[in-house]
Amino acid sequence: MKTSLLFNETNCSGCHACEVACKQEHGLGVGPRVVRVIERAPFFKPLYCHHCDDAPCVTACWEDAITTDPDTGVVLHDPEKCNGCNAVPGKTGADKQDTSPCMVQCPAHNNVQGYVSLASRGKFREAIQLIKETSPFPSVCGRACPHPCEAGCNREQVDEPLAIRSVERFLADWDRMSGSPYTPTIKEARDEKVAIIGSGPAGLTAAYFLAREGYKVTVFEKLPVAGGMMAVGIPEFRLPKDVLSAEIKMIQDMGVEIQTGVTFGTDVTLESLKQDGYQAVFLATGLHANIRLGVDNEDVSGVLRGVDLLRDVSLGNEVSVGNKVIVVGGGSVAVDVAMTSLRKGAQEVTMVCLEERDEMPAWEDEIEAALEEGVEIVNCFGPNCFLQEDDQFSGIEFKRCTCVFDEDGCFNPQYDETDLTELGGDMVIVAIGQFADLSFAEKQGIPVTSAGGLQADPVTLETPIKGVFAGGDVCYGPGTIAEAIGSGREAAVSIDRYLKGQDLRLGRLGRDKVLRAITHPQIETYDPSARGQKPRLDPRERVASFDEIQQGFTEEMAVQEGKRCIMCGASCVQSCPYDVMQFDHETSKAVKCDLCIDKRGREEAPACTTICPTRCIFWGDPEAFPTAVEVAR
Amino acid sequence: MEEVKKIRTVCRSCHGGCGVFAHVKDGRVIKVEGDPDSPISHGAMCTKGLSITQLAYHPDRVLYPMKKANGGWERISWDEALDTCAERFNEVIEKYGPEGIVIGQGTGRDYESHFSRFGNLLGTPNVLTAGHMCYLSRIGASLITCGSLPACDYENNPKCIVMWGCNPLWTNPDEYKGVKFWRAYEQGAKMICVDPRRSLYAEKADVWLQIRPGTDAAMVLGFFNVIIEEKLYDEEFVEQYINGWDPFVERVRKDYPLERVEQITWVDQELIRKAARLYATTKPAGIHWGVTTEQTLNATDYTRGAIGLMAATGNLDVPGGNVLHVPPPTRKVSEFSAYRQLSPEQREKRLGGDQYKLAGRMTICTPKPVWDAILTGKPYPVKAGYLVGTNPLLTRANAREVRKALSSLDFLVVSDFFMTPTAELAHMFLPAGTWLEQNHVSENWKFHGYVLARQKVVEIGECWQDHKIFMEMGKRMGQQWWDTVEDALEWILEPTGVTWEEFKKLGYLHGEQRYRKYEEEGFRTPTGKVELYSTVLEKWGRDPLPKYTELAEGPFSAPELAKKYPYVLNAGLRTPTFFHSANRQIPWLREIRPDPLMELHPETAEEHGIKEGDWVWIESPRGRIKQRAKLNDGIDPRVIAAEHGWWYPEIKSPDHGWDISNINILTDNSPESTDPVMGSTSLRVLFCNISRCEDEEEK
Repeated sequence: MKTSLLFNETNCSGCHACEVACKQEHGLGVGPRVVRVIERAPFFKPLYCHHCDDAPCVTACWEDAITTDPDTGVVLHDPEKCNGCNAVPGKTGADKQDTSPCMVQCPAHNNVQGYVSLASRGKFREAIQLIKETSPFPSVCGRACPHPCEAGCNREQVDEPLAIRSVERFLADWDRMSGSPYTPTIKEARDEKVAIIGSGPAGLTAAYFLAREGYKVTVFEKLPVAGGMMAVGIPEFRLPKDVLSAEIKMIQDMGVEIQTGVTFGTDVTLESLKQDGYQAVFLATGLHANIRLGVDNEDVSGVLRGVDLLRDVSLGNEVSVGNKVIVVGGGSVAVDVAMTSLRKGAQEVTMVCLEERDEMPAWEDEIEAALEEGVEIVNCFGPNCFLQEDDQFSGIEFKRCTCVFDEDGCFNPQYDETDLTELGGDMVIVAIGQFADLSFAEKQGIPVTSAGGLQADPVTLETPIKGVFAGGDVCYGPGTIAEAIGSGREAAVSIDRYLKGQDLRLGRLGRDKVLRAITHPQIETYDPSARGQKPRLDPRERVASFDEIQQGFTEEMAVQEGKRCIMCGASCVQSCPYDVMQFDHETSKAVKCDLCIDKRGREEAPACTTICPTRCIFWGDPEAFPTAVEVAR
Repeated sequence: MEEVKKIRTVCRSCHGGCGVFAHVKDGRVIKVEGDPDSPISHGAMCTKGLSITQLAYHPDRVLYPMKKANGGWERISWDEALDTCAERFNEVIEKYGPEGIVIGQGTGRDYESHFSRFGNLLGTPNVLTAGHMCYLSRIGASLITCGSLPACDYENNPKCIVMWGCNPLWTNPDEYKGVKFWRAYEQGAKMICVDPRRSLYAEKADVWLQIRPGTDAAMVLGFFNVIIEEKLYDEEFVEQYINGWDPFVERVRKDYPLERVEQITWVDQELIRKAARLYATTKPAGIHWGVTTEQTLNATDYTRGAIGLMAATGNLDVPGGNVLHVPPPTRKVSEFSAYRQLSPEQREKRLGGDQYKLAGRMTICTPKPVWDAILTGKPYPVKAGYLVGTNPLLTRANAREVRKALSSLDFLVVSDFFMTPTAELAHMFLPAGTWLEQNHVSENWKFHGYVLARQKVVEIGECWQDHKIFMEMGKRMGQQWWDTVEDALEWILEPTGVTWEEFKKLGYLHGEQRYRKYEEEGFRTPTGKVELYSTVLEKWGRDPLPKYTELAEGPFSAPELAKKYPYVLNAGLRTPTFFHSANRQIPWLREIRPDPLMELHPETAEEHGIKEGDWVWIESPRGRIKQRAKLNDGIDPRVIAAEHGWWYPEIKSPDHGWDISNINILTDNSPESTDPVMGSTSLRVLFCNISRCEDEEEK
């Protein structure tokens, strides 16, 4: 336990005295401010080091330059050990206060540089701990995320981007196999109860972060299994069930209760939850209804829906597919449906989609794997009508699609109605997208947008109903798992602030804060090296089972890949949840608040605390105006 | 290397006196810290005080006397500087009389006693200060109403606090630094906040009155309406100690029904009712003054009305209410300044004295008649000026007129730390010491019951503390002064029985506080009562009862002009970093606030296509300036609040960008816009319009 380090953020008058007192104490001029007051009229918020338990900056530092003082709990930075994340004095550092592009691009804003660099030193436990600061699902993302983080990787300026996803997967697998997977410490238990509707990545992420804050969290899931689309939308050959359930179990081990088979709107309602003492609700029900094509004969026998098929297969329901299967759609679900069909006995699978090959929304890896397995892809055709014989599907008449997107990049397909082609088959599976079934919202007066999602503030995720928040796909439409994780985390922040009576908007990403990607890294000291790669299982063998097709990195590969990171950012700067870690361009090192331990010793209160007229920050006896510190442990 | 010595002293980076420990090593101040035992600040300090080392050792600070020569500045000796000043002043006296010299100070570096003595012994009644619209205006109205300035008594934990247009956690505490307020609030006091902007106080308050700027006097009368109607006043006190209660009640009932007050102030009458009830029924209750209420033409009426509230609710001079503090028995400014030595004939010559009688009673002029005299020679010529720690080009209304007037003087002396836009107009520059370079019995003219020991910590360059400059210049002009600064301090302290050396060790002296003094002594007014009906104003031929006068620039008084300038400009937005025009060159402070900010409501901004951070033209009938937009949804969409005092020390030309962002280019000093007895300028209530700066040029 730490000596009382207390924060009354709502009492900040914005006088900035703490900033100047800090600069004076440490002899700093214009430049980094380790204590800062952010101003956004009419409110102010002091930003100062919270000396967190399990501080992310301590975890993130690969040089062990940041440590927690065992006697006081104060987080200390050792400039001798800090190498500024490979900063070259005078040559680099100009934008190290900004964020490495991997973290900016990651929809969940995982500290990629941080965990990759830790992996390079074999610090796997610390690496996984850092990931779990922002995401409870590294195993899932390490397999099923389209890794936008790699797209912006500055390593590309040397040779090729880092294989970030493979490193993440290795770390997650290493953690799971370790026998004692890392589970965050729960802060002090609180009495407030929070209900979460939907156990997909958004819902469970919110549950994870709220449980960590000490809340009592119950997740209500309509399906018989937990995990949402992670469980019933991603086939086992991509994401094995035991891998997912291990991560869900971690969340349950943190005290989160998951009730499956409970339908929101009938079994429980906003009203009943309120009566049961839930003080906040997070709606993350996802997209589980299939979009229809709206063509003739769409309801004859032999027409299946993509997510229905995947769900039935996942749940172990009896599923039989035809010999000659046509899959309509070019996205990830369509690819998964095609590959699942093969594993369910289809002899011939043809995907037909509107897009050109390079426009297809499925990600390239997935398409390649499908092609390896013998899936045929026909581009630039859309169904004109389904053909039938005796109420049984027999084929599709296609028309040529001349253009999918309009000038503004909006989906607006144009056809050549005269260029028609027929394709015969005994089953068609339509996988052209999903939408939200919002029948529960209508009944309970929960506002819905014209786009068909739940209405929620883009920053705070508040719905117009007090205490009710909404996030994930059900708000913004189809997104990645990582986006849902990010959304769930923001929901947890909002709900925590809401229950503590704090301002929901202050200092938040998209409101007071932007992540700027570093674009001019120092690359001179890095030699080219090949990007790590691990093969998939043999396609001829793998279609016979639902075994995971992609193999993971070995320990050596993960370490080697980690070493390819050019450390364009500063791991600690980007790990700080309070935005207080600063990069000093003069010294090319990080600087942080040490509560004046070096300057004033452990008995005297830090300069920023003694100066504050409203006692926003203090360390010592909460009743007294701070002059001295009692080091009581 | 020497050990670090900690010397206890008192800050003066603003108007207040926060306790400080200065850390000195090898003859240099290396840092300053709050003094936890200070009765004023209790260990807290603000950014301005904390940055004193950056100010005192700033590379641009002028450390030697300088004279204008060959179009530039030239270093000279103190002897030459003082001899020249004495000689030039004597020439003016010979030719035009001492009234041909105007002396001026700003908010002061705690040298009021010496400044006034210099002026009185010189024989000029023409004394410029900020007092017509800051603090002295409050004191003047208080003196004629209840004999002294009532201060909120945080020592005895008020149960209800009214924060009336002030922010003591940021700015000038005058009586107390905000720490005391905060402690009372934390102990559960109810709070009423009167502020046009949503602030921390508004957030925390039980009632927030988002008032139309400048209508505070009407709000006071609205409070009274409720208090009278619901009989929430202290009948016994009213009966015994208020002069003119009945005619006052009649006026309030007749002229200030709540519907009308709502119309004037833009505040829902039910909220006014709620606030008035809360204030009148929660005992004890204290009103914390702010300067805002003094910067309109209703300055005197508001102050008198507010004292009426304190009195009628039984909160005047009671513990935890608004008290009349008893100072320690030092010799006061009035005695030190030797006002008696200024002859009645000379007093008669005070510029604007006939008009602004309350200002005259406070022994000051209001600026406008002085500028007029300089520019027209009427009623008599004013040829020389001596400005000490003041930058009127930035801080006085209608700045272009100010510049024109000061540029016309035959001889101008400025004493300051830096070459300000005002100093650049001077013929002589005298380098003044900061509070680190000053020995003084500080706060000897405040109303909080303390005097505090400010002791010299270092000497820097050839800078002298202001007191010494007045003394040495005065002596050269034949005035009677003490040999040393410290000798004068001994004289001030003499009645307390404490010597200067002992005083430094004690740190401060506290008067023996007594409450309800009126029970034995009455109030120090002509009737011995609280004069809601002022016999003094009556004698001067003014309205003896508090009232609200519609603002010169307001939608009711000038509807046509209002079409062209549809917004209310509050030209006095404060920062947490700057003291009026000071500190723009201090790195730590400028880093926090690099640009001048004007606040406006997001809806207003959208209407004009203005985004956060855009440079914006603010225009009034007097001109236009640029500041950067800061969107604030806690402000009325009809109100623009803009920072004052902005110049750019980094612009090295002699005008230092004085008119780029200077809000006083826009303000008005016409007689019809000022308080009729005090001359207070309307700085919070001007017409303006705004537009986005189209050019990309920053300044």
